[in-house]
Amino acid sequence: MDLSTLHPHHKRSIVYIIIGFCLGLVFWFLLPQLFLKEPTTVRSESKIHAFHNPDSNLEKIRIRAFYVVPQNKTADAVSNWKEFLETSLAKAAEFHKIQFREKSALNYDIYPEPVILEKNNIFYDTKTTKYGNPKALIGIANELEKRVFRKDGDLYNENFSQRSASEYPVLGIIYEGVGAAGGVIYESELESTVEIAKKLGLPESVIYKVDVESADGFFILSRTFLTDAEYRFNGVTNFYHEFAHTFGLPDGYDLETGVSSTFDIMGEGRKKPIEIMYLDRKFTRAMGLVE
Amino acid sequence: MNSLKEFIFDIFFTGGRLRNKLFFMIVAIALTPLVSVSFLSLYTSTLSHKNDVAIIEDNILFQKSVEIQNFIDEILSTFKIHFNLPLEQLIVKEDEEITYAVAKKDLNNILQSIMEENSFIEETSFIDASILRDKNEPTNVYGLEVAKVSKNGENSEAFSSLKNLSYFQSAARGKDYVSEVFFTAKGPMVIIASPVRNDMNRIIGVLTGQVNLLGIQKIVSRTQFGNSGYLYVVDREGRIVASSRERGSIKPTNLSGLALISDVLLGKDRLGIEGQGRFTSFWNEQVIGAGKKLRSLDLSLIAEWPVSDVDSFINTIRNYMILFSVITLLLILVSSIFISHRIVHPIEILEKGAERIAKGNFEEPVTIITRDEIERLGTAFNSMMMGLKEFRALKDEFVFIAAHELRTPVTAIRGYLSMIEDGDAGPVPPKIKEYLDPVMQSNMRLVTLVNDLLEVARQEAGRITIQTAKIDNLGMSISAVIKELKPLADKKQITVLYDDRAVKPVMTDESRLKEVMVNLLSNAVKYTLGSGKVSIWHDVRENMLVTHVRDSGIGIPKEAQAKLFEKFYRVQDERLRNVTGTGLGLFIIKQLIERMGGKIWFVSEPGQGTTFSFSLPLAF
Repeated sequence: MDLSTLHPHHKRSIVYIIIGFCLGLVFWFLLPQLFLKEPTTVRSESKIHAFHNPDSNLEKIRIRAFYVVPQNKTADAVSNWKEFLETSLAKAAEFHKIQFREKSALNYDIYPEPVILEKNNIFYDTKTTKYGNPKALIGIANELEKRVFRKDGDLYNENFSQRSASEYPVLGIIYEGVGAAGGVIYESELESTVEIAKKLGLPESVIYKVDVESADGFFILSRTFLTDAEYRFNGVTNFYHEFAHTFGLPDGYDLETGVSSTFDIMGEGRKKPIEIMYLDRKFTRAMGLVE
Repeated sequence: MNSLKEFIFDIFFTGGRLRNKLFFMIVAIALTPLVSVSFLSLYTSTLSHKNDVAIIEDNILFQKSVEIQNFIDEILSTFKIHFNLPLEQLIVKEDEEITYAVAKKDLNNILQSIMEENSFIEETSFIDASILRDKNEPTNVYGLEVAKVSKNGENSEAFSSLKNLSYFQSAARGKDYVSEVFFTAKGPMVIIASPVRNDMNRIIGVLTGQVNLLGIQKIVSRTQFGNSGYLYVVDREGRIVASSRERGSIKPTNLSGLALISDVLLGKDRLGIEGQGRFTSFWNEQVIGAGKKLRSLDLSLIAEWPVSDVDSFINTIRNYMILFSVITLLLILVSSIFISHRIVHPIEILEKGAERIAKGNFEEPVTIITRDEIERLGTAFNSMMMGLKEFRALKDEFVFIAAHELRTPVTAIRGYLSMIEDGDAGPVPPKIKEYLDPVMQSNMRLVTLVNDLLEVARQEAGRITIQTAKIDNLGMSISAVIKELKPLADKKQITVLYDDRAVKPVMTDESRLKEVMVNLLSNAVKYTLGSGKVSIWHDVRENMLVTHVRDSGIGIPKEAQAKLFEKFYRVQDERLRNVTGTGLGLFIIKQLIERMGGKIWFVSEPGQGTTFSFSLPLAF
């Protein structure tokens, strides 16, 4: 059949019929696709920051880890410290990734050699090591700042000491001695701890002065947590517990009575293996994790 | 809109062609059921398909929710401990010395058997929850962890105080507790706590445990429907707890932003054909989803089935239906054209037959073979044509006989009138002569009319003979005609010019050719009012010698030109009142020229004169 011989009415009507048919198909198949779809609510994006401090940025955290030995404890130093430290950091990083839904990354560098401190342990531990020996943390952090992170320091290492603006730097100290403490380092123009405590609304007992510019948080943990059989189940848990103080998370137990108020890693969970532990949602929410 | 209405009205009711009307009516009648049935089929098949999908997803959800519920119930039942002993507390503390009311070994054995009973329990422990009955206040060991057994082999008796933990407080008040899901390196977990009662059904402790929900993952991972349908479980906040998709593809995420999941989390199950939803999944696929909440553990089951998989079969059916509809549509269009042609074609044959009859052609009967009324109409038409043919033959015969019979008397009258005018019967007085002249002229017109009628009658009766032969001296013949008519031209001061330079030998009947030339030249002179000029010349076109006769006369009106060669037709013009003629001349010469193998035509412009041209075959 020669279509060119068709009367114009025929041609026009064939076009109308085909258009009608196509519109029918569109109506039948496409419109339901467009209008019967479920709506999706766009939730605000997570931006992980320090505990109750939205101005900070914890999308990338870097721990610079040291194994430090007081002058009088070199005989107690262990040779395979790096292996234990590496394992603990890796497990802590994995735990961190799960708890923050991969929205915050924990990276780390290990100072290649043990740092032999300039003084004996009594100098750092002072008279009391109560509450996790925070005095030792302050003293050792100050010494590491001078010796490792300052160019005139005897252990200065340019590559190791460089600070990236996009990372939240943390000083991790594995101490050949007593210790399990951690905290945030704030820069303040105020001189006295009384003034600072008043400004932050915290008890003065938890405010310490420290001269450290290389990190925004620091923690100390006795080497025994990583190596001794006593802590074989919860050594890494304690490692992360103290690390968690570096971005401001509080303890989930009473420091005086030991009575736990949370079951997570900041409370009763510090006694359990990190593989079955978690961070309470009230903490992760206060750190910007939107779920 | 108006134009569409007019278009439809025009097609079905007015104007246009019968073929078009039939075409559109057939298309409309055939398409209506086709479209209706197609849409109904598509609608019902799609509805049925959606229902099937809903049933499959609902069945999966119900089946898996039962399995998961059984898993949870089994674990919860594991934590239901009842000491049929007259115990008031699990441990006793006096002067900082703690002693066990039940042998610690027995407690550990219980905990160990719980761990062995269910491999998904990571850790379990007893906590003392004793109350001083007389004071209705906690004992000094209230909330202390009494015994603990872990999967990793840790058996602790640290006597940690857990009195501030919500799960202990809940269970110590007699209410079973299941925590929200939390995520660990070993998988999603919950904490379960249940009260431990003594023989008096009083709460003396709490049994708690940390349970790995990989058991749910195990149940869910075996799920598949269709080729790629999958199931997953989310916690109260929409986080994925278990999924049948590959583990690598499960990213920690929150899915509560999807409306369907949000509904389920709020306790509104999305089941059945009304409940299922179509959305883009977390894995960026278009899916059809359904959901059901597991109320005992605050978990929700979501079934998702990629649309590409769900609709693959229905799409195939739909494509076949579309293909079938399109083919049917084309067949209807083609059939409509064919059917309308079948109906209209015989009518067109009759129309053409009628046109032929109108032109006097009775020789071609119509041929219609439809084996129905229309074929019988064609036969009747042919009979009518034969009747008309006979009628025309009778008419021609009558005209011929009448003309023939008239010719002798009018010729005789003419002879006698000539003799009277010439004085053969004596001198003709002026008054007689004055009366005789009009009689002579009328007689001449009568003779011409009779001759023309005879000529026409001969032609139509086929009695006229044309004998063509090679004529070398066509120019001389034409010159002779010019000479014959010169007095008439001179009388009107009309100059006749003949250019015979292009003349060639032609095949023609010389005497008939002269008739043609006499007619054309006398017309040229007659229809040139006052003085003027008539030109005759030749040219050669495609083996034909064309002779042109151009006058400077009044020309022919446009409306008259189409009828000029018809019998008895004369141009109606006031200026031609005194010009005599029968209206048969041009009809006769047209027949003569065509019988000699040529054609005749003319070009005329009113007021500008007319050019008649005729062609004759060249002789070689």
